[in-house]
Amino acid sequence: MKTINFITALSPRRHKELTRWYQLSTLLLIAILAAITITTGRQYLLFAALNKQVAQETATTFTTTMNNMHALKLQEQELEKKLASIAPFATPKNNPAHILDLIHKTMSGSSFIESVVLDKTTITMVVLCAQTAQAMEIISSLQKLPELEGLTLQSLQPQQHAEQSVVRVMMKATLQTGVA
Amino acid sequence: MLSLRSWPSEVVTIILHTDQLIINWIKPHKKSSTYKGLPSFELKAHQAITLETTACNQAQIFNLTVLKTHINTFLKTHKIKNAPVAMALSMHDVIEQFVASAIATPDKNNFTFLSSGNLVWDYLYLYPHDDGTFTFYVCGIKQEQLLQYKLLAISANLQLKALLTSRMALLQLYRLVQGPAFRHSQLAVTMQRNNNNIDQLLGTEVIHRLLTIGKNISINFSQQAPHLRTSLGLVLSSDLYERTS
Repeated sequence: MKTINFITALSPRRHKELTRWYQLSTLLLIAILAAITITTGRQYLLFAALNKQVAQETATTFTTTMNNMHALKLQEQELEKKLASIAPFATPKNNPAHILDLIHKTMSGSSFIESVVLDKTTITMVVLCAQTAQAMEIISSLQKLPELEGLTLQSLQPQQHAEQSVVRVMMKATLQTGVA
Repeated sequence: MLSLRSWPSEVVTIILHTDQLIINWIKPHKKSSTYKGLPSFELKAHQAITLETTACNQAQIFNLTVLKTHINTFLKTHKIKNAPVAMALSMHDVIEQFVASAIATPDKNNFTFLSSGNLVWDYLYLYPHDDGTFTFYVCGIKQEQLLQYKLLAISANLQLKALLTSRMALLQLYRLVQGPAFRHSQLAVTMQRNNNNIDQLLGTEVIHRLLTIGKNISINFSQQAPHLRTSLGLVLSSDLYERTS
């Protein structure tokens, strides 16, 4: 004989199964969340400890680093001052080596420079030449140089040098600064 | 929401009978011996409430909130939680008929007088007649009335597992008490002897054998005997006890 039941209810067995499923699912979820929290928490604590350690190390070396930086800045300022004082000589037009090089290039094979006196504005050269004509060529060549203005012959006299007869030529010129 | 508590081995039966609300709390009685293979139970709590005319008049429920209040008070008083609930109706809301039919195994289409309305209904074969016809028990309830009881269960947070008619519960109790000896022909004889009064199918002996009434429960046994039988029928027929014990 069947039973006439007006409602279709969840059977107690099914209800119990669902209750157990709910309980187990909740416990499992809590366990997973706890595991994730513990794992992540430990990693976060480690990360925080490392950050703190790095910050402490940085704070320890900070004073030394700052002192070094200040000292280096002072050195740099001093070097910049020195560099500023020698900077004009770094340009070819003011460089004595450049002028000497130009003078040297005008010398031929048998003539050579005996002395060069260079002050702020004038230059005095003494050149030994084998012949007078050669001396004149050198003078005319030097006169063409734009760096030497108003080159004048100061003296020209024969002289014995290393048992040879040479012509000692003294010239004087004004240094032309600012010539490219 | 499902409860986290485990399923208890107890049943609450609610009987709505004309203007009365009867609530019983029944638990399996482990110490008692079985009767005809049936388990025995213990009545842990009982309450019979006469409903006011505003709530129930002429066997029709008008105010389910009153029922909810009474039920919740009973459950709260006895600290009953998550117990499965079986409800039996014996009201005008429920349509019950004994129908004679020439078809021994009819289907629902044969009872067209009930299928036309918005009823939830079913039928049950009872017994044959000498003239070749068969008697069926047909019962139904209007959809809106059924919805009211469902809403009552939801609002009172009841684990409603069965909603039967009182006669259905008694018929099931009769069948279960008869056990393997149940015969439809014997049911026919008994029914005809009692003028188809299902309430008189079983005597009070069944109650004494199947139900132990708690010592601290005061109950008017002669008045409540039919309801106790209905409660037993509910517990046994709604398939709750076997799964909860």
